[in-house]
Amino acid sequence: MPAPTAGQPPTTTRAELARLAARVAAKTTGVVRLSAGTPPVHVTDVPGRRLEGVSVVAAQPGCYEVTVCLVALPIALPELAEELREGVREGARITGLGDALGAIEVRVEDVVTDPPAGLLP
Amino acid sequence: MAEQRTETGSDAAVARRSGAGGDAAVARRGADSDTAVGRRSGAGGGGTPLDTERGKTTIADGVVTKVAAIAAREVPGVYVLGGGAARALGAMGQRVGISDERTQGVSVETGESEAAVDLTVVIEYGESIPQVAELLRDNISKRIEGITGLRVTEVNITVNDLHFPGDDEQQPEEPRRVE
Repeated sequence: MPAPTAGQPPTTTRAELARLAARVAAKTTGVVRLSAGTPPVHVTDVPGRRLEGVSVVAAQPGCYEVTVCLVALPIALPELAEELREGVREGARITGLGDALGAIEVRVEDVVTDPPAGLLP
Repeated sequence: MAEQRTETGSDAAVARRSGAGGDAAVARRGADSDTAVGRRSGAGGGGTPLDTERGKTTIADGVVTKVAAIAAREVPGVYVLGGGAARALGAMGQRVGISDERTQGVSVETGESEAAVDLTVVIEYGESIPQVAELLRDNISKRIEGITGLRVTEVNITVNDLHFPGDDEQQPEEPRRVE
């Protein structure tokens, strides 16, 4: 894990991982929206806003497990999850967070059969 | 291969006990109680499409229920999902916002890598019930396995009623006896 720079709160890595996971999920084919889950535990406060649908929890010092909870189209969900994981890993590697990223869990909370216009592949 | 059981309402239980004609309606493979225990414990472990070394994918029961319901509706000969009581309770639930018409008559049990489905349906009169049941099993298993990656161990089907075309016609109002 990259050492936190002086003056930077240690939670920044969590926030960056949460933002990254949410950004990747929004671009992943078949993801309709993120969901806080039932009960709503997949929520992360990042500076300036609350991200619903992502939780980042320390698995060991300096290494975080990320859970992305989402609503999807009825398509092949294991492949969707793998695409999302791949995107998060790639993004973490590029932004120097690769060592801080542990397992990525994808929770599919619901599927929609009447998605908003423009979402169908 | 999914375990198979088709029941035709309460008659199926009678047919099983009497042994008359029951074999056609009820075909069991494996012991139900063992299967149920296996389901609840979940097969789990790595190496499945949902639990890889790169991370775990969790599919909520509601997702499997919805996929099963969609798949069931795709099968020709299925008039509606749910039995009389399920539909009545479902209609009541919808009014108070606690149930979804689209998934009534479907219940699923999921483990980490397997799913079992119980389905109650009303079938169009004239259709072959064993044939429709087989199509239901095939389509539900295919859709659940394709979409969620869960292996379907059994699809149990209860045929609760038959639908006649005339059932939907409105009964004419009785003439008023007084003006």
